[in-house]
Amino acid sequence: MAIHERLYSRLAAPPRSRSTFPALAISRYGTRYATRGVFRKLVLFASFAPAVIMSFGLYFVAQNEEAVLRFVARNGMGNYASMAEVPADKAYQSLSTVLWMLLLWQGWFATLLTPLVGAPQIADDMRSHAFEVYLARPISRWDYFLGKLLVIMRPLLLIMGLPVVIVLGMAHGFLEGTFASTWTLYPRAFAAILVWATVNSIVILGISSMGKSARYASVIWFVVTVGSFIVASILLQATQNSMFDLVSYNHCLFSVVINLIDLRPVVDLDVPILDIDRGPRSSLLVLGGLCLLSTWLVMRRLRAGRLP
Amino acid sequence: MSMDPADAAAAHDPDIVVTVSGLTLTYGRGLRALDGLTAKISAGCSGLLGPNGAGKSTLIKVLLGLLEADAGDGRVLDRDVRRDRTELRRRVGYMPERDAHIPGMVAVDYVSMMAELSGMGQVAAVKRAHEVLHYVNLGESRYRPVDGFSAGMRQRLKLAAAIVHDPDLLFLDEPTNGLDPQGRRYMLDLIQELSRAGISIILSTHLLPDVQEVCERLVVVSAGRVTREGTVAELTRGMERQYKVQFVGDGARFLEALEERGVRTSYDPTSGDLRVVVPEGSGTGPVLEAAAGTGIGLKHLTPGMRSLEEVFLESVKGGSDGDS
Repeated sequence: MAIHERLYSRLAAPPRSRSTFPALAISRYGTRYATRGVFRKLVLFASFAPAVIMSFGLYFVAQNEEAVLRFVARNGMGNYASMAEVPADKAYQSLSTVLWMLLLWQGWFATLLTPLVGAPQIADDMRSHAFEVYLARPISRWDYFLGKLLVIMRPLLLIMGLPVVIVLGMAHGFLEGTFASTWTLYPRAFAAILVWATVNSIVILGISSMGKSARYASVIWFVVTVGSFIVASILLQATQNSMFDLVSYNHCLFSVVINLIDLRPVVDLDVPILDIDRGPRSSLLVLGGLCLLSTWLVMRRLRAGRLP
Repeated sequence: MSMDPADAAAAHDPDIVVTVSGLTLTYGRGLRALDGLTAKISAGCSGLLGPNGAGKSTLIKVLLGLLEADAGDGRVLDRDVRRDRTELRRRVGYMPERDAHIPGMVAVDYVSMMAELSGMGQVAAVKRAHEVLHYVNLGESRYRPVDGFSAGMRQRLKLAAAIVHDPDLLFLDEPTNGLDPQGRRYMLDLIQELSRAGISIILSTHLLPDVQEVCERLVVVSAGRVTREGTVAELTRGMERQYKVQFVGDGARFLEALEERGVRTSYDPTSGDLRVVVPEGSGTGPVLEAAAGTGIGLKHLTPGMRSLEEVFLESVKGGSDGDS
């Protein structure tokens, strides 16, 4: 090992006092490694399946205009001679229903992918002592938090956002001339996906900061999401009191998303449709509380490490 | 908690890179890691020497702002360790004692991420990461995941991450831990070269030979306090009256003659070295006279040097005694 093959060279100019966007650097490098591993990739690719299947379904249905119109009539939206006659508000109803059905699927994939990507984010840093090397750099704890948040949000936005765009794009193509009355669905869909991904990411970060084990964090995540969903479903069935949907993390998310996309279902979706009339306020309060608690957990962990 | 005027003056001295005064830190269960530690560390390569649990790593973490002292002040590169953490961290590099890599990450990504977090632009960070990885002889392995690295490679990777932003001061916490002799030699060579390049280094270790080899100055820490500090030469210098003698001839008569002249002796038959302590103010006269009187041939007569180990043991004993 000849040390003097290369000599140490000092930098011509010192680096800036701090990186312009340290969070982006953390998220960029983190994302590169967050979706490595067979299972993670499998979940990521499998999450596109519903969108592909639904797109094909839409395509084949659209080939048979008569069948579509029969479907529209059967669901109480009126009798029309051609697709061009279907009123704009009906188009919005149809599109928002398609969107909701897809979001439900994607939401479950997100529930699975969130701990796969998010659980190791802080837990692994603590276990491998990588925390120390982050802490010794000129970054603030909000940079670290935001960087890690983006690492989780990126794949979640991908698996929820991309299929939604594809399906909505195709559906819009089949309902020609309805863009003027349905365009608001696109920003609403984007907002819904953003809320869903952000809440999932913040909550898993909070859980991840509770210990050094990513597995332990994953278990807690499934207790919070799937466990509370089962409990809430049982309580809802037993009591018929819609207030119990607030027990479930997923029900709260559904409630917020349904209100955001202004869902007015045209068919019986056979999914837990919540008390839409109640509005999203109570669900937002529950989710907001969870996000605040999770943020506090992360900051408490970082404060112990003394990031500025 | 304000500094006295002498400390304040030292803080502005460009040759002083670290000034700490009365640092005290107690861990949760009442374990006092730093106990009013006061020290000044000059630019260059300094050793922070002490037994395990002496408070060396804690001191480094306080200086980096990773831990907050209960009392006392600290300045690093003329920046307050409490108030100017961000600016301070830009100018210092830290090589932690424990492995601190990010699981699954390849070496070049790890180092370039650290460069970006230290304020370098994306392109410059990647370029510099390649440069320093070559410098620490990890050029061939820079696209391999760190998890598969040997102990020596991991140590060099940590060093690469610590120097990637070209710091003015480098904290190295036990950099030769777990290295084989060849790896240790290589690491010490790197440290020496970084020191020659103008980077001040604070080397925390409990390994005396490492300190003796690369450090100009030494701060001995024991039980959370500084028990001795100075240049290695100063600390290892013997007492004025102590000499090391090598001779040929009748040893018994020579020793007798020395004792008659009031010279205290201790003879090591294995090495053949004779250590003598001459009476105050007499210089080497009694030794030369005794040799001439007994027909002894003197091969060497040199001022006695204490080994660093002796200094260390004395200092540590002093610290422990102070505790009890």
